[in-house]
Amino acid sequence: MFVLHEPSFDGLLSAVAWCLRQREERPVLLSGLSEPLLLPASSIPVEAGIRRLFRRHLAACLGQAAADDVLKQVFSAFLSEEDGIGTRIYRFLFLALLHKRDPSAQLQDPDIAAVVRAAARVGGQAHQFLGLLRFRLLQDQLYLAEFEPDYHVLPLILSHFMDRLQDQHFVICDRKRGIAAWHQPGRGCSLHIMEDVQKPADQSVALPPGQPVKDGADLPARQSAFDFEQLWQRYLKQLTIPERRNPKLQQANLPKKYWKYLVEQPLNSTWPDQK
Amino acid sequence: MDIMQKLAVLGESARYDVSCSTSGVARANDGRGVGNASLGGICHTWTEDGRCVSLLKVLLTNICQFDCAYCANRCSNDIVRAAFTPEELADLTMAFYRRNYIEGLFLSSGVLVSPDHTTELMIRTLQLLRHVCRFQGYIHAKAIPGTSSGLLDQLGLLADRVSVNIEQSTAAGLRLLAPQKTEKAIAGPMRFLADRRDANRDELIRYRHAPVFTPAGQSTQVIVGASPERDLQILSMSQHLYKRYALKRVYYSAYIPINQDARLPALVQPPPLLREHRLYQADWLMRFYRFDINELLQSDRPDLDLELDPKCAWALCHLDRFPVELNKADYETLLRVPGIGVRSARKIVAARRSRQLRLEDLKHFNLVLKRAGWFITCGGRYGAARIPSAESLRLLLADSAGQQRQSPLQIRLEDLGHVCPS
Repeated sequence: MFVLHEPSFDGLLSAVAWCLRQREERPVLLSGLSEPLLLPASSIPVEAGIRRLFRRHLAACLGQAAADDVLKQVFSAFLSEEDGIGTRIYRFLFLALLHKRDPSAQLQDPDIAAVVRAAARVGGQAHQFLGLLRFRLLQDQLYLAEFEPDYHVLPLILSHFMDRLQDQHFVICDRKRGIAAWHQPGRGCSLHIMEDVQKPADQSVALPPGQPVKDGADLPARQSAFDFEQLWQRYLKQLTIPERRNPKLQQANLPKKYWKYLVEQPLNSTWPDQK
Repeated sequence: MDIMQKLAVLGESARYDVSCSTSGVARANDGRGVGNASLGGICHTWTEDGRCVSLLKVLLTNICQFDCAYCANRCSNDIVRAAFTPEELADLTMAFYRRNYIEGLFLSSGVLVSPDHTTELMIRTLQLLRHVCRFQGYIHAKAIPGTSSGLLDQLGLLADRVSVNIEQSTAAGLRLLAPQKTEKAIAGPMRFLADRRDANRDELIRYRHAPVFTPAGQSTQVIVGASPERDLQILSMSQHLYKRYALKRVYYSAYIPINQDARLPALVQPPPLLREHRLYQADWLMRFYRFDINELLQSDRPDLDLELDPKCAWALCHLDRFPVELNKADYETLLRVPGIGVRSARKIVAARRSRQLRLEDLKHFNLVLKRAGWFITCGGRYGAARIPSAESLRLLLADSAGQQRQSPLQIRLEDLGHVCPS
């Protein structure tokens, strides 16, 4: 039985809830944005308050802490955007509610193993980007960061930066998916679709309308005299101990796919020259 | 000297301090400042030598009164000397932090005038960061040997971690290579930091909003290879420090020859990186795998095997305890199997609650099967035709970092079947 759901997490949960209620046998859950099917499929709309419903039912079966863990894991697995992850998440939640136990320990089951691994990969990349994201100070006191993650990790890293840089105007752009998160101090964060996804990183980003102009620097005047990107590059150059040079280890920890948006990238002599 | 030159000189001077940890503190922003602290720590980039960079690691100044033989900044070396002002350093830290280059500041210093005078300058910098710039990220401060307790107390209330470098694991080594740093000057601050932190934890139980003293604890660093100490002496000292002072980490730094000095090994020697790696492995065994130093090394065998990791070396001396049945062995026994780590052991114990484990299930637990496969049975089945002898096991387990030799015994990996990773 094919089940189409909205591409959001709430859409997936609504489809899972529908399958559980109908006691569907072996449903195949597909995101509504996939190619249209020739076979008959049911289209499930988003249910309001579906996350709260799931949290309540899972807490009743597993306890509050385990329920939160399961939902977090399922959300991370969903963000991996893998093919077939919807069906696997359905089975994961089905087994959780059936056995009244967190199914992540049952790695012998291929669906559970797939969900756990997807969640681990997404969580791992999100943690990497907590460190690898680089902000640039533009005019008008706006800090801009761009990155191209393999998985949709923006929802996972946003709360960290909103807490850490709570008094900063910043924008984090996911260039691969064309989504930007815009944070204003005291007003929280809003998500926007970027208009020009194809523009290369060094040209200006199409900023959301109504972005405030802040005059009168809140940074002390002497700070703006320095190019902090150059200072950072110089500092890193001096940090290497020549007798311990190990480019293979560096690349193992910092794969080339992340070099594009790293400020310190032109520094290393083994890295390709960038114009 | 402009700030670019100062940063280059003082960053280079600080690079031999290998501590890079930003873990151990979970602190949310209080809504009025900048920054937070992440419990597991965050790595921001890696240098060309493969080391993680997560803090702005600089000296406040590389002017130093001391003349330690192994140090690039010793007063008898003719190098460029520089000093940050507290304002410059605070601005630099905040600017880097807002751009997400760093988790925080690692502040060390050469001894300017006296240990107390230097510490006062460091305290002024940290006060500027914490109270004026309202910085709430991670700060690691080095305590200068010989600093008085009152200043250490102030430092610990501003920093997340304070450390004193012990550098040499024996008193004789210290007397020879760093005669101005006495044993008392190092042990005194370490003891104070440990006792004060204990007292602070009691205070925090009684008053939830009491000021916190070094929430991320204390660590230290030992140089490996500058003096003729054996691994047994170094690791015994580490074990003592973990037990007596509740240290979070001991760092081992391979001696990099910088200075020509009669008291030090010759300049041409390569740094003992493999020995440093084995020391870290043994340190992990002591901290997470419940090994005691006397199980790993004895007085007739005071150095770690360079060909094998310490856990394999221990297992080869205790083959009577193997093979271990995965479905029945308790957690402590599983931890002792080479190739099974802490997380794998926990996964095995969790998974076998629901049903008997089989050899086919092993690939889910992230064991290092090419090591563990020789030491385990699963449901009574062993992965090879017969259990090899100690000599053959030694050849089979030899690290690629150690020597590679051809195995004379015909135990083919194909015999392992599904135990062997494909």
